[in-house]
Amino acid sequence: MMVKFNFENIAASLKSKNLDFTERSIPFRRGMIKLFYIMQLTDRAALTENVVKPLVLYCSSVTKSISAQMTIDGIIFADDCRIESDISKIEEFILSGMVIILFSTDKDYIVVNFKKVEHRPIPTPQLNYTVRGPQDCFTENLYVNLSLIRYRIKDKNMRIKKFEVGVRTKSQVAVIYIEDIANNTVVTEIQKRIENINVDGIGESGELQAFLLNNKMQLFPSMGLIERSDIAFHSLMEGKVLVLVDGSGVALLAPKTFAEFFYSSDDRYDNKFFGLLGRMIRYAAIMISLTASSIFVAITMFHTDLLPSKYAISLAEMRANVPFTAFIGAIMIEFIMELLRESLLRVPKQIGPAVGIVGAIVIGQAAIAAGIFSPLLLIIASVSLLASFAIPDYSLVNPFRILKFILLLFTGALGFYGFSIFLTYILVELVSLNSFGVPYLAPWAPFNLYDFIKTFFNNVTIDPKRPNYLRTKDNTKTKQ
Amino acid sequence: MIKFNKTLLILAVALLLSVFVSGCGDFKDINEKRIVTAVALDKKDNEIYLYVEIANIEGGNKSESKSTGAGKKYIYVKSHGKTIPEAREALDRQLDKQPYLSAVRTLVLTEDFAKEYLVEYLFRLRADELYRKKTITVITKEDPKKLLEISNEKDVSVGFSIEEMLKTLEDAGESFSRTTSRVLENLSDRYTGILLPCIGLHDKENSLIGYSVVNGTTINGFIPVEESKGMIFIKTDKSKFYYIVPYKDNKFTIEVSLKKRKIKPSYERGKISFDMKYDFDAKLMYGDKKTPYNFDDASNAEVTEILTKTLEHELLNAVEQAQKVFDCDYLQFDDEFRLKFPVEFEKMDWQNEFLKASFNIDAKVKLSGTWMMDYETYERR
Repeated sequence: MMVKFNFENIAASLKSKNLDFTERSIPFRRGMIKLFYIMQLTDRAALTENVVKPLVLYCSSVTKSISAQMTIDGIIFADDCRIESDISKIEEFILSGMVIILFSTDKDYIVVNFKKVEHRPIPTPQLNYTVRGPQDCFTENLYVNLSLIRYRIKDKNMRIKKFEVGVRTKSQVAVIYIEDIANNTVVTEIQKRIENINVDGIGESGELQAFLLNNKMQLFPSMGLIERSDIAFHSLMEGKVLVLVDGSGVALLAPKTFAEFFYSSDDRYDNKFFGLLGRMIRYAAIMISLTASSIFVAITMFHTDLLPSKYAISLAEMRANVPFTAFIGAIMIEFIMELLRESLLRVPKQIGPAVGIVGAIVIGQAAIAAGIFSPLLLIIASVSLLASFAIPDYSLVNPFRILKFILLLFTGALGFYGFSIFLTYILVELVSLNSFGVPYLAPWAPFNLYDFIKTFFNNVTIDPKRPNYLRTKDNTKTKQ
Repeated sequence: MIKFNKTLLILAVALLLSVFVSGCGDFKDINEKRIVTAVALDKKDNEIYLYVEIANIEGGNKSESKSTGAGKKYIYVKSHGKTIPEAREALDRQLDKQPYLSAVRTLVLTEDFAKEYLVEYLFRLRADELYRKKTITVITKEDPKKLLEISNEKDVSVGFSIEEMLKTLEDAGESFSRTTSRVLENLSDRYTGILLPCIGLHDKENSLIGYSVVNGTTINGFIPVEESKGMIFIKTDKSKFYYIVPYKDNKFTIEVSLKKRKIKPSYERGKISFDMKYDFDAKLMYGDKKTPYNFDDASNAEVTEILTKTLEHELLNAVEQAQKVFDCDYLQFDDEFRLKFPVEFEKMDWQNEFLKASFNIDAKVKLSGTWMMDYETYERR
């Protein structure tokens, strides 16, 4: 009696809550079997073929009562199924995409995994673009992403720890690392921070990242963004920790130092000297992006005596009919450049080039013809913008986009004096940061010669050790 | 113990910044200044004439008051006064924008001006921190207005053209230039003897015509460029000239370049002497006749002998000219002597002692005739 009472109440309760559950009833001589699931999250063909059909056939031919254990043992065909008895968890199971089989003759119920979420096919990279590297990228589906990683790493020491984050969303978060390489402190710290997250829900890894930061007011990124599975593989091999969030196609990587934001996977795949050239260009690019317009302002307004006379004359000729000071001009053009960048990010792809052309014509032609900006300033701002695109990880560029304006203000007020003050402040800030215990400016500060050389060269043939600053358990990559 | 609160700190920083900002607030963009490329000074009828050549960045849209050549790339402005400051104040009154003196390439001083005001003007230049200190300093016997007008007709800058001409000659080893900082450095010495390039007009072109000798604070004389080879070999480290050496029926053109120079001073029983050892590399370039002949070792030795004597003679002449004609150590032997005998130098009157010094000149020439190979080949056929 008791079981029947529960069965009916539970079934009625599940139906009454308007949770969009699908119900399928299969009667048999002594009772009823009810299946509950969410249609959109379930592989219905598999459910019909492997659960419904065998149950219907069995129920129509047998007069005995049916239990959950009997069903799992001899009726249904499912690889991932188990018996549960806690009725308070039923709703949770269904909401997470499981199929629940309730028996009127048994207090236990079956949880079957026929989860099937619609997801994109493996996309090509949008953030971590590569010339010759693999093109397979993470999707929004955690299991697809895990399959991509497992496909590359067959190490028995690879650990995947799963967490549920979000009281309401119960988003799955996977922390992945190689146990005999990764630094325990980093792994523990990341896990601890994930466990301590108390929020309604997270929808994307960016939201999770915000909870993992050392300092909530931190401007510079201390975690890397990874889109491609080959980079994830290399990072795990280095001894880093990867965090995947179900519903996000971008994985998080920790720890990540400032220098590592300049590494591209092509450095590893190409000739090491091309890699060196690429890195030198990228280091220069970030400096150009940050300082180009400020140096122009400092030289044009304050320190003109630094210029050889011929350049001074050329510069003055170019600026002869410009009504604004170099400082105002630089602020305006940098603002317009940022406006262009932001617009191009938001517009649909089909009209993106049109916006680009309009921007280029308006700024490049009309603004100069109207004498609003000097051609040199436009060149400098364009080079500065171009330089910002040379950095492989865009998350490092964003702080520099903000700092560029502040540096311009300091330089506009105090010339190279202000320029030096603010650059020093940026350096102090960078030196004082750390990424999960690893100094942010490592291996430049604290200095380590081997790692320092690696910031310029990265090639498997000349790189037998893992970075010292990561303090990995196993420092050697090449096994004898 | 003083306790800083946050508001006080912010206020202090804001005040400090405002001090800095107010200091920099009057800085003007480069296009808000008149870029001066040359400065010329002349003295006539007890008046000082100041000419400045200015880059016309507006490309002729604006014209200067009392200026000539509007529409040209460079224009010049003239002012005058009884004193240098007066001439400068008059100039300031004529300019619509502040003059920018960090781009001055050449400072042209007339002989008349330099005789009286060389030191004063250079010290004035030193006091102006914005005035370019690497400006090439030259003397001219011409009217600066003429130099500026001719350049203006051709739409070239006097400042740049004189500087580039002297630099080209210096690179070729045929002359030297003097910057204002170098001249100021010489002026600070106890004994001043300076040579400054002298510019003149030659077929309506700016040209190096010789060197003006500055003894103490005034112009003392002039060495024509044709008589300056020996002096150049003493003054510069990389000098190179062409000599025509008559030998038998031919006149050979030989390129002579200074390879090594060693000047060794000695001081015995109150007598100063200098041993000057010169090593020259010489290349026989060509002869004036096409007649084939064999330039053998004996011929080489004879030509070398002639060349060596010519060079020794020129070097000795240069020294004797300094001692006997201009009574001034503009060849700066004092530097060599002071390095070796600092105590003795401090005690002596170098100006007089230099005039009594003896010089032993030993020149060695290594002549190579590789360029004559075509003659030899021709003979074999």
